[in-house]
Amino acid sequence: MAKAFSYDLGVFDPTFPGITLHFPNEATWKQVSSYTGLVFNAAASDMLQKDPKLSPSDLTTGQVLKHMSVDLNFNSPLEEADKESLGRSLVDADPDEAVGYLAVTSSHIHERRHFHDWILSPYAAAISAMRVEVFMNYAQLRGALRAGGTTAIPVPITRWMRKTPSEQKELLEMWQALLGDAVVLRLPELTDPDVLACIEGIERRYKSIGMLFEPVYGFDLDAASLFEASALLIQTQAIHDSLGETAHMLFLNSMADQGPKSRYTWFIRALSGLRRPDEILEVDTLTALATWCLLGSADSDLPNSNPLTRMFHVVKYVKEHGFPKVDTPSHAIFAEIEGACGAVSYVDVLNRSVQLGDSIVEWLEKAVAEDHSGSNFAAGVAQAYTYLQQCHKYMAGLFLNDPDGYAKPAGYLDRNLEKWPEPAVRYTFGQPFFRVKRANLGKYQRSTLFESESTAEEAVLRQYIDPFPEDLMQVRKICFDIQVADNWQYLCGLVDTMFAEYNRDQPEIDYQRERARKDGLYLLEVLN
Amino acid sequence: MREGIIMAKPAGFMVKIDASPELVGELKNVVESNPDLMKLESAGPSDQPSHLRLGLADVETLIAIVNGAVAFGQFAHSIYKHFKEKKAERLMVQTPLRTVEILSSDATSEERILELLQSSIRV
Repeated sequence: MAKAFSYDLGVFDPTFPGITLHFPNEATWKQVSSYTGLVFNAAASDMLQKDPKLSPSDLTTGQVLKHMSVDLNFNSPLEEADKESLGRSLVDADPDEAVGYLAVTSSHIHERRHFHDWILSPYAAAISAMRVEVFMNYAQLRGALRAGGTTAIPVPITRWMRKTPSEQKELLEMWQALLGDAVVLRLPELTDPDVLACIEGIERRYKSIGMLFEPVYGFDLDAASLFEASALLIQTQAIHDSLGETAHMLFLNSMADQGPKSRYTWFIRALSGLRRPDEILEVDTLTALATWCLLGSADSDLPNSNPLTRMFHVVKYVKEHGFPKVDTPSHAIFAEIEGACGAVSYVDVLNRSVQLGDSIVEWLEKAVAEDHSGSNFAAGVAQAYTYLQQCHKYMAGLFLNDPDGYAKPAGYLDRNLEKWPEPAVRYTFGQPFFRVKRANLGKYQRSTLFESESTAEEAVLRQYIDPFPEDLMQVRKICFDIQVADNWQYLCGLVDTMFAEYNRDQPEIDYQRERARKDGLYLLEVLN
Repeated sequence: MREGIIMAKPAGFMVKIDASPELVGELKNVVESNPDLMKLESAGPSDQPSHLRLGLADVETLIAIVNGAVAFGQFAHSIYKHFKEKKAERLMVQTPLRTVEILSSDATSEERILELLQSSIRV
């Protein structure tokens, strides 16, 4: 039996508007590289077999990639039998690791769907709007945090502020022992009423943002599980479309075998339990249902905004009415469920979400015009949000025009990819092993380093963003601006480091800590 | 001026480890078996969303006050043994200074695990 794939290559990280491929250590990097190489070799063998005139030395990387996914558009050029043959050759090459191959080769599609869901979903758009409010509050706090020669800031600040004076004293003693007596700990004075009001505003917003990651209704699942369901369904369909039925079923069964608490397969298992004896569980239908779960918004329809709440509406609907027929248009499925549960129409929610985003852009433009601080912080926030809002508006327009083109995997995968905004791909490394010569560092855009491990000759990368290939730039209508993606990540990372009380293990926080350290500032983690 | 022997204040610091319930249970035993080196603050199901949850279905958290590298040596032994048996696990160790993720594939030796644990307190 094939081993389950034990590592999440892609990471759904809403603080970076793009695809994140995370390599926690060197062993994982090597494993993934070997998978990629194997898939590449299988495709090359397939080409050589089909065209006896070709020799291995004739093959270029571009030709092999094109063979695997013609014009990078996921429309496989292979006949059904050829796809099946390619899929089988992959599985047979190392049955134990086959699920790993499949997961790695399709991870880009999975993460790409996350990106598109994130910029389409009104629920996610509301979170981005809250983040903007947090950033603008933080802009006013920055001075206070460094005033008076601050050398250390306990983070998250709100957790520190809840400590009693004796608890704070105890922590300070422990930190001093860790840092040594040479470091003088001077903390910021956080007593000014305006400063406290700012912090209170940020804390309130973070509580709302954190709901995405927090379990609700006593279940060990959160709203992010629905985003996972959507991405997994698209990934499964993509494996089917490019590598045939055997590979598809192997991947699907491996997912189904994951534990009952797996956030990846919970949605599928929950709905498959509702299947009636004569019903076939269609990926098309499941994806439409998962997509609807992402279309709520607190602004338009508070009681039905959380994706998990919407999921329970779906379950109730399917229990009562059975699954919609596979050829039912998405808009009809959505209208049926909305009618049954009393949710506001997805059309109204999306339109309202776009209007709200536009009004925030106007507000930001005004705030930037009135900002005479000399800093480009607020202007950077405005630029990043405006770009995100443009993408949201664009996606909402496409979706409203043709829901099936997004909510059904065939429509999403088969239609021209020129339509969908193309996300930047970020590589992140959990440990310092990815070394490049300083002279070659220019090839790695927006790179950040493990500073302590880097030398004058060699840089040890913590992360970099892959530039868009030239051929991709030519066919894609929108390639998400790398600088904007990087700026948004920077803003989220900076303010999350100071205030977020969840996901404290996200790699960006350690980067911010190291960056602050270079400026003579210790960001000391309050662990409990 | 030296005034005879004054007992050095132990350089205790807080460490937080998120891992599978099984591994946290083992590390809790390590803490409780070494009262001179460590003091347990809490251990139990994690109540905070974390990136580690993407890789582990169940996450528990252990928080302890430990006295430096010697304590890490005790942890390293247990973690190494556990990871050699469980090939698909991981843990996150957090100190006030850094966060370090350790995977089963890092368990090439006990020394490697110790090295990674110690990197979490590099100033």
